[in-house]
Amino acid sequence: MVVIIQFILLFSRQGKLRLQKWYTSQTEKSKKKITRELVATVLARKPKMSSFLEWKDLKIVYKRYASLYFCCAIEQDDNELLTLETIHRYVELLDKYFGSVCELDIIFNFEKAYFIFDEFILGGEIQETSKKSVLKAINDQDVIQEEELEEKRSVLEDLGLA
Amino acid sequence: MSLISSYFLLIFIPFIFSDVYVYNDSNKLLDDYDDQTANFGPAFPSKGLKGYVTTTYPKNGCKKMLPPPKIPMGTYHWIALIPRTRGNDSCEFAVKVQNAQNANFSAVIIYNYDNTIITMGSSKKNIRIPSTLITLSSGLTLISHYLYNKTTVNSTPIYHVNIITDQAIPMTAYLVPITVVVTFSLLAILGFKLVKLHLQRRRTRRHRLPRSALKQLKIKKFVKGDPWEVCAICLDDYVDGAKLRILPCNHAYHMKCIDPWLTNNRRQCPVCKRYVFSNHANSHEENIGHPQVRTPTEQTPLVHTTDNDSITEISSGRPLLAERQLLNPSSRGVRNLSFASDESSDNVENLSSSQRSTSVNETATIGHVFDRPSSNSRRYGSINDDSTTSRVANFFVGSIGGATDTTNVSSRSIVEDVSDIEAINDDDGAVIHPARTYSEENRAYVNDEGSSVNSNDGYV
Repeated sequence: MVVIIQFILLFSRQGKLRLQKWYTSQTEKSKKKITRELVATVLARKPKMSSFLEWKDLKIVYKRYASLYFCCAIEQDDNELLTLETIHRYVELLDKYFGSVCELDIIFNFEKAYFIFDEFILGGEIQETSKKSVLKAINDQDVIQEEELEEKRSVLEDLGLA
Repeated sequence: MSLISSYFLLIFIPFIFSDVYVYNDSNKLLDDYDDQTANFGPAFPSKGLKGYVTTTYPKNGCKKMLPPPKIPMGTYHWIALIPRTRGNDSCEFAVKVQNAQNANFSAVIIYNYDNTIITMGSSKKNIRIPSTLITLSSGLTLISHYLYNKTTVNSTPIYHVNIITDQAIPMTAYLVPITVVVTFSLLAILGFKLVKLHLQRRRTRRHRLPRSALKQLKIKKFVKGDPWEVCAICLDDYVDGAKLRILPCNHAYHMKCIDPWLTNNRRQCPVCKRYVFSNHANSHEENIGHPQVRTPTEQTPLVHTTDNDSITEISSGRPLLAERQLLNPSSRGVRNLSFASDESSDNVENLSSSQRSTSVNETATIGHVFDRPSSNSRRYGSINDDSTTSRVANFFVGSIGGATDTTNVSSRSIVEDVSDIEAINDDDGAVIHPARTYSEENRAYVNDEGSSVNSNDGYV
């Protein structure tokens, strides 16, 4: 069974949006509106309340990890437990990549968090279930980035600028 | 003086003003004139006095005059219209009215010689018909248009006049709604005030300390050498044997000074504003001591790491435990648990490369360092969302880069080694994932518990 995620939002306990990923086309205005409403709805919920809620014609699956809320929207007939597992897997990926990830890691290295997203989920569907493969791809990216930096540095050194 | 009198006049005029209305035979209102009733004789009836206006003979009414024409009158009366006169043929108002009364008129309208209105005055007592005064122009209009016409003797006169006094009746008519409105608004204000008072009382009572709770606070007899010197409330130095109440913030006051404050004002220390009982909101400092109760900040790890014991506690008695221990024979910290798949592959790899194992150790140690929030704060400084502090935080980004770089390097070396044994790894992953997910799920739950305690403390 494939769950198609409509969008994923990461926001802090203060309601600050940290990461967003939209898998359906939305205008900028409606994105803002949805975000605002959803953040307010989720933050208003008590800790003992269910992680699933019906919101408009979507189902919202959210989970709080420390200061951060991970919030996914899925269709009515999609599996919310699977979505919760997806969220958790993403958190595990982040945790593994950053090493005891905290919100600050995501704030400062948001591009990495997005890269991990893109390796893990594509078009709202899980693309790669193996954490290992995802991390390998991300690390490969880092290697390339590192090499490019090295190259630039060496070029500068050749010119005597560094 | 004249100002005051005119002021009085102004106040009085509306009360004595009546109106002269002219109607035609189909009772249509044609004209009305302001007038002023005389202060002698009876007042006009409140329903008004209807009648036909006619001039008199002699015109000025100073001598005995002819009676009005005799026609069927019905409810109508004869009203004499007499000019006010000056000079030789002038006489008192009362004389004119008296003459009209004698000639069988029912009322008198006197028109002034100019366009002002005055109150006619007299001391005569035996006047039984009402009289009023109108301006010259009103009188001339009455004469030229609305007089009883002799040619209509046999038919009903075309015009009749109604003189109505504006009495206190309309005043009471206005008074009733005004009083109703005023009473209602007063009641509303009163109710509002009462509700507000009630709410305020409730709020203050909530802030106050119940007398029974005072017993839980420490009392001490002052002896020389105690750290307190002066009561901050009465500013007296403590003398030996004085009964002091020591608040939890270690501030001391005279019992007789602090008790009324706590029971009548607020349950706070007057000096440091700390709540006397920490179960009240605002006991921030207490929470910091206990990491379980701490509010999660940006530096809190998302996947919460707890002690090794607590994890075994949570998962003990579960069939998964043995499996996990198999995979994780070293039974290291939880931190390592989340790296379990690495490590298990590690075990396989260790045979092939020694460099690999060192790199894993490196990862593990880095992970371990990251575990502590203090190290996180070293990495990023304290971050808030306002720009000044985020600038400070940006200053630390460089060092983060460094930190993550080392992680990357180490994990890269993992990846290199892993690539040739990927098949094994994937198998491992399949076995491990459910176990790990379970335990970490639990940890996340523990974390949520902690945060729920926090939100009860009023931090949300």
